[in-house]
Amino acid sequence: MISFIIRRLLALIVVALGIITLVFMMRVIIPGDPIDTLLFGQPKTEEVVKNMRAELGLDKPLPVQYFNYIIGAAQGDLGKSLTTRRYVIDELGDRYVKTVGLAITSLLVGLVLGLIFGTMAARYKNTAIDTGITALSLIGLSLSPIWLGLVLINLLGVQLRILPVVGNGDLVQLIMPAMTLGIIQAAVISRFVRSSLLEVLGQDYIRTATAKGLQLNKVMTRHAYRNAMIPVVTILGLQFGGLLGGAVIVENIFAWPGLGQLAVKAISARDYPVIQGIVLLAAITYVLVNLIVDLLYFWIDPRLKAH
Amino acid sequence: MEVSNEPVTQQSPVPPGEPTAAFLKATKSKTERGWLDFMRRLFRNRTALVGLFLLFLVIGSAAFAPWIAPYPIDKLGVGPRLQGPTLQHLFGTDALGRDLFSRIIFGSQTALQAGFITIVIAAVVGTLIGLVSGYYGGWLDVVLMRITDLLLAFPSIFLALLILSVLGTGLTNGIIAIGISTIPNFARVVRGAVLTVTAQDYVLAAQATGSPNRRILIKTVLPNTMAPIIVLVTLVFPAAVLASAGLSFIGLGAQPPSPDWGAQLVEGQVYLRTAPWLFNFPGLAIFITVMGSNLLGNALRDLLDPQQRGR
Repeated sequence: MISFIIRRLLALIVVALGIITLVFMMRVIIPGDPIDTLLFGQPKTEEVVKNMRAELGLDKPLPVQYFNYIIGAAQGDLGKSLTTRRYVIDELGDRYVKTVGLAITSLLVGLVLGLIFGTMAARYKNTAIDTGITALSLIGLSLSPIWLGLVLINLLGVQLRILPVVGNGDLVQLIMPAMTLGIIQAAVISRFVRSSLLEVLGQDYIRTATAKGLQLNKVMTRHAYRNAMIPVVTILGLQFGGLLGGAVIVENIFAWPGLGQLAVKAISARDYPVIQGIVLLAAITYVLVNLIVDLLYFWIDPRLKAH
Repeated sequence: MEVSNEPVTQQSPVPPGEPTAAFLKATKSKTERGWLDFMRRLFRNRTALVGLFLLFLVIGSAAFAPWIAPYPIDKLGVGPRLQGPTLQHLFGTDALGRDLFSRIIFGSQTALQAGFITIVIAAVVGTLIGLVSGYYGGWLDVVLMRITDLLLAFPSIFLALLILSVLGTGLTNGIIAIGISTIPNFARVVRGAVLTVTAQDYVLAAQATGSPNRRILIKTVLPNTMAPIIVLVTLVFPAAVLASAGLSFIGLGAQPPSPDWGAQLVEGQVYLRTAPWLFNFPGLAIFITVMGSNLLGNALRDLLDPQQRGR
């Protein structure tokens, strides 16, 4: 198990290096001079341009710039924003927490709803309940998060006035975006819960557990769920990437001050260090989450430890 | 020569060149029969029919938009401003007095463009990479798959945003970015399918007959990897429609005067309190498109991959 973790961590470093390389290459092939972005609306003299190039390290040959970027990234220095002139890492920090918070909350909402609906569908297999839940999940899969988000604002914020329409990034404001992403996640997760549970419930050990007189609840929690969770956990890890992506859209609906909002601003302003930072952070988070998921297997399925 | 062979040649009315042609014809009609059978099973599937009907609505709107739409999409003041649905304006009017129904009808064009262009980019390039990688193997395979794995480590919209920041924003660039960001998915799936196919005896047979690799790839390997490609297409199409609407909504795709559904949702958000039809109808339009392709996709997946049935 230890060697597995070490191998995965090494792979993580390779992936991180690859992502850094890709992000660096994007800066090289991006059209337009970053100096133009910096000097927007100001007189552009040769002297100023030269100084700026030196300040940004753009006067050095590309391999040196590349090397410096890797060293910087390893120390958390991703350069300065071209528009605000603040360090990228400072720009991202708080917003990163907000986006990951949104993604995790949405995943929890999706998991809870998915478990409830998936279990119900499996329990009442091939009945009207099962069909209804399958239909609901198909609808959920086809929903645009934008429409769902706007409908929720209109319903809960404007009509019923339960939740605030705008906010300043506090927890109450998190409810609606998390519901938006969570409902769509639930559609995916419930399908996996259903099929996975159905497969496990057909196994011999479930029959044994029932036959020895274990209560249904015990059978479900101790035997069925634990085994049925393995494919579900895999999906959770993969969906996390989708949630980070979905956050980009949803943050812009609900004015949730996360990375997605910043990404839109940065792309419109051609603020490449910020774009690089966001993409780098999102990709590494995604890889890390899937590493954690792989480690969860050991906890869920003790058989794996033997290998 | 003159004695023994004569009855034979007389009996078969086909000249020497014909047998292959006849054989080809026979195999062709066999595949045609396969297609017919496939279509028959597809049309017997209720899910597929509903999906086809919804997609037919969208494709029909896109194809006949100029004839269906009662008003020009960019003419201001064809009706009162911000009026709810009426008989004159089925879906109501927007803040500039434009007819929403006409704009929704025309919006289907950009939505379908997003889906189709994404698939063309991703399926063509991704399939090519997958074919080459899986068939030739070796260092080429290692290099291509490491790059693919790296790109798959990105949540796909971030890859699209990265590409978008290189290309610049706009509807076309947005669709291209979504297309490129989907290439690795196709490359992975096709390579996997190619590995399974090349292990089969018929590929070995083709190699033994001395067919050039390119011919084997196109004539033997590719047709046998079609099922997973089609399955992936049915997953990518609705995702691309959603992603494109998303990019337009956050202002990186189609820009407001365009009747794109994602761009219309921006206006829907502005008048959220007073004019809910402004976000409900574009939202519903996206939903119908995505739902239609999901339903058709589900049916196709069931037909192409019997093991997945009932899942």
